[in-house]
Amino acid sequence: MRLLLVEDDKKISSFVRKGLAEAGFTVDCAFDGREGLHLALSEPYDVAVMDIMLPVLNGLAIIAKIRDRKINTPVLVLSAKRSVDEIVRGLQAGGDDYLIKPFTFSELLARVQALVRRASGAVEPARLVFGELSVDLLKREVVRNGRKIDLQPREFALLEYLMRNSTRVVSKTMILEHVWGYNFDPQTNVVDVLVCRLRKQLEIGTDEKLIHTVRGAGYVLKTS
Amino acid sequence: MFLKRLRRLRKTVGFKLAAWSSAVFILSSLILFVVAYLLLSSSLEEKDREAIQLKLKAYAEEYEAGGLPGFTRRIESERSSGKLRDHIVRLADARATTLLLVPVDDGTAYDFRQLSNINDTNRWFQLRAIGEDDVLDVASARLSDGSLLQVGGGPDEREDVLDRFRDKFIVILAGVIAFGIGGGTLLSSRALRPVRGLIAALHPIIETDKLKARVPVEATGDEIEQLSRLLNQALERIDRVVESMRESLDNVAHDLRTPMTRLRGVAEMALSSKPNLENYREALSDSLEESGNILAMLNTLMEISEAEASSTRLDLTEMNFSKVVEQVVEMYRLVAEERDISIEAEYPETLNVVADRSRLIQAVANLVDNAVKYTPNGGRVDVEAQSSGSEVVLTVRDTGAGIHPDEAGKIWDRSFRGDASRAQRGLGLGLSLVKAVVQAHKGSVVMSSELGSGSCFSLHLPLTSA
Repeated sequence: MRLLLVEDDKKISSFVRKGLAEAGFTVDCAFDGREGLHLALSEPYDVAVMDIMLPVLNGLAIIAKIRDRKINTPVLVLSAKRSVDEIVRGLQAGGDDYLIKPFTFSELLARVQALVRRASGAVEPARLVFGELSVDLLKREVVRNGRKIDLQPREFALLEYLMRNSTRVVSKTMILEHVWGYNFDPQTNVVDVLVCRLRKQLEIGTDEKLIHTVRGAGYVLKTS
Repeated sequence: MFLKRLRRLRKTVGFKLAAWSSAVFILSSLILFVVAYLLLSSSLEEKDREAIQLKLKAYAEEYEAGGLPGFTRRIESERSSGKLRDHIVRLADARATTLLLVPVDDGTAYDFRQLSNINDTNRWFQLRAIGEDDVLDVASARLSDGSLLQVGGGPDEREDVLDRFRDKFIVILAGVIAFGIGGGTLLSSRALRPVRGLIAALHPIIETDKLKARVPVEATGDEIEQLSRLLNQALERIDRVVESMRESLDNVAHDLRTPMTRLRGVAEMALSSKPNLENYREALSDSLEESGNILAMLNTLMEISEAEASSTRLDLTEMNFSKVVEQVVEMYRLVAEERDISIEAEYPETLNVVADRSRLIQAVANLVDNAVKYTPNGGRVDVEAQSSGSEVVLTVRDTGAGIHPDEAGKIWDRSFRGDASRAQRGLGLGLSLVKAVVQAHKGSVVMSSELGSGSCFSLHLPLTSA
């Protein structure tokens, strides 16, 4: 997988590059708009991560230009601005997804992988399996070790999201966005409570933990 | 330097106004003169021609009565008395032989042969002098014996009158121009005086950033008064925005100081302790958590500022408020159940309002969040939404500790947290966000509380906030 990263902040660029390389991407970095546009037009990339505020040429302009040339590389737009207007502009310019700074790396990775998956047109699986845990998305049935587990709709949605991102850390914001469709911080730990309930349901009759808390970052579904 | 100033002067409204008004004034005086001149000259000409006609008639009668000798005597006598100074008289018999010719006195030469060709006696003939500009108006009359009598007169006299008229006019014109320019300048300077007053009043305000100052408003009822009022309104707006920005910046700086201190502390402690992987991991996790808190706080502060500053930038849509309440209650039910708190919600099927959906959800969520947070385990939270007149009212009642009357006024302020709640997690910003969002929708928030038995928050939202 080839990935183009256009970001002018050297530190951010460096940690994102490192993380993406560890996740198996071949990363090309550009530090200003012109360089980014040049690479985007001359090399075939599977996905691009593009900052908006860039020297020389801004990210939205680059996206508009490559879309003009009928290049459909999926683009994840990065921005420091939270306003809805800005997000809408980013997506209208031809961006495929949007991430606000500061972001957690795990969220960036999850979004990039989702973009690649969508672009490759992978068939939506009817069943998700992780170790001894299996989720039937059509019947909405959860089975662990042959034992059926009854979940409430939000618990099911959370589990599905964790399964799709298994072994990756998902942040509370990501969970909130996917399970409830909200993108603000509720001040109480609604997410913690939901995770806690799901965990209890999954761990009835077994000692093996599946959902792990990564303090300060979020949660991850993995075998210990 | 001088040219530059002149060029700048040329661009001022005062100069343009003065130039235009004097130009219009001078031009109209000129037109008036031309018209008067033309009228005068044509009426003078008329008068001259009448005099010539009279003479012609008198001479013809003389000829008819006294024959050629009588006629000649009359002409001679008039000539010697100077009455024919500017005139010519010609008499020709039926065969066009000139019998008598009296030329003009000043000796100007005319080609009198032209006169013998005249047949139509009803028309005036213009006789030009040889080699000069003078023109004589000649009238003719056919007498009963077939002879032709012609009398011509020069324009000398009327030229004199018109000349004097022109000379006088040039003198008058100089006065008119001076008066026009002077009057125009005076007019424009008077008309623009209030504008200059405004400029003079605005200059120090802009230069010194004293946004509290206002321009003086004179109750004249004219456009200048309107302009002054508008300027004052604009100044007030700017002042308010600047003030609120300054305030929120102060607040942000203040609010961020504490978590930043903790964050630095964690990192410093880890660096100065003995190298130990487990400690490092712990410190990094702490840092992440702390930075998460900072971010959450920053976001809330931004949202408050946005809601406070941009009531005009709400993304308004018509929506069912009951759905919002339902969703939020469902979300917090989990947390409430965990702590054995029962949430009762009551709302009609539909409760349509025009509002910014995501902001409104946030406000409602913060109210419910607040209630759940401060209600002790086993307590109860009641949420009720209903329409009342032209507004929708949401009431959130809890069985928490209540709020001390001294503090009741401050709960909507940023960074305030009552004594009883210090132990609780929370940033103390939730209620200010609620207030900011509701006020942006032109609604209001009300709180009543009884110490020891709980509080009741209500949110009043107009059906259409636009």
